[in-house]
Amino acid sequence: MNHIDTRLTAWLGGSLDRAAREEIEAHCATCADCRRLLARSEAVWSALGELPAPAPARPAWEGIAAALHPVQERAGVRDWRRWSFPAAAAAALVCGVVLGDRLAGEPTGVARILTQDIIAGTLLSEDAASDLDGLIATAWYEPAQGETR
Amino acid sequence: MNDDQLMTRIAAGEEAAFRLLVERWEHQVHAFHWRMTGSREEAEDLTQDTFLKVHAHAGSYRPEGRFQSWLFRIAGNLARSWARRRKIVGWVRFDIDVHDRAGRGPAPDAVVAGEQLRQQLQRALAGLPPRQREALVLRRYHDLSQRDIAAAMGTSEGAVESLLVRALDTLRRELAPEPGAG
Ligand SMILES: [Zn+2]
Repeated sequence: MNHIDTRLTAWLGGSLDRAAREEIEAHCATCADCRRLLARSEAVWSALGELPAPAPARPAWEGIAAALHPVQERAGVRDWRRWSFPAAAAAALVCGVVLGDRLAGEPTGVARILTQDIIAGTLLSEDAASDLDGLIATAWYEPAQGETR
Repeated sequence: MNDDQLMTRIAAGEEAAFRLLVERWEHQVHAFHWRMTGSREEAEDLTQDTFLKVHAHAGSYRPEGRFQSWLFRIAGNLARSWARRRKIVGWVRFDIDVHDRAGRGPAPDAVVAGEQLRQQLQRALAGLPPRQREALVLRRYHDLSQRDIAAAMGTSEGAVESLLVRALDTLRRELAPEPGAG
């Protein structure tokens, strides 16, 4: 006689075909242990449905749109590429310092990419943005001291 | 327009298509992150990060009709690195402000029972190790198949099954104890 434990999650998720469902029902009709296990599991599964997630406080698009167009909205500069070389170099220095500070212990990669890119006048090309993304995702800084959650 | 069609347009730089996609999925993504982090605020930040990654990597998406598991792969990666950053292993503080009635006087019995159940569920879910919680959340709340969960979590279907079995085992003991046990 096959107990039902190996097919329990499939049963709960409703992904079993009819033959498999009938097999489980037939087994539970004769096996009290599996009958209890199934009843308790179904109780848990249905209770989990009583935990609705709260709705987001504001539409996600607001923040996303701002993040997609940071230059126009935050700095009031229309086009980074029109920056003069000295301004770009100064910006690169600031970015390098700030990021180096934030990413204590992991500064070189990100700061280097940003610095090189800004000096080259292409500020955060697609590739650099994606490298930066990857670096930040894999090597994020630890919360600063005093930062509590 | 389906998700694959939207993704093709997003890869071509159409911002309107991206906005449509965000609006279509934001509630699911936010709910996922809320259940993984227990915090509405963190969930909002992680939701935004998830979509920004979708946007940044739209060019590498292959339109094979499996957008949801690709989306949750990104969301899951972010949730896991969030947990690592916070050095939290299996511990989540759920914001229960919407349900918290402390200091507001007695509530009707039915409401209290409902709130107790919710809090008990939140505690039980929060107590699961992150990968068990992720597999369970994707299965129970997002209706992903075992195969899609495996793709989203970068693991095998067998491993997903084992995560689900262990999660369910823990939840049964906490939420539906056997008569006479514990
Ligand atoms: Zn049995």
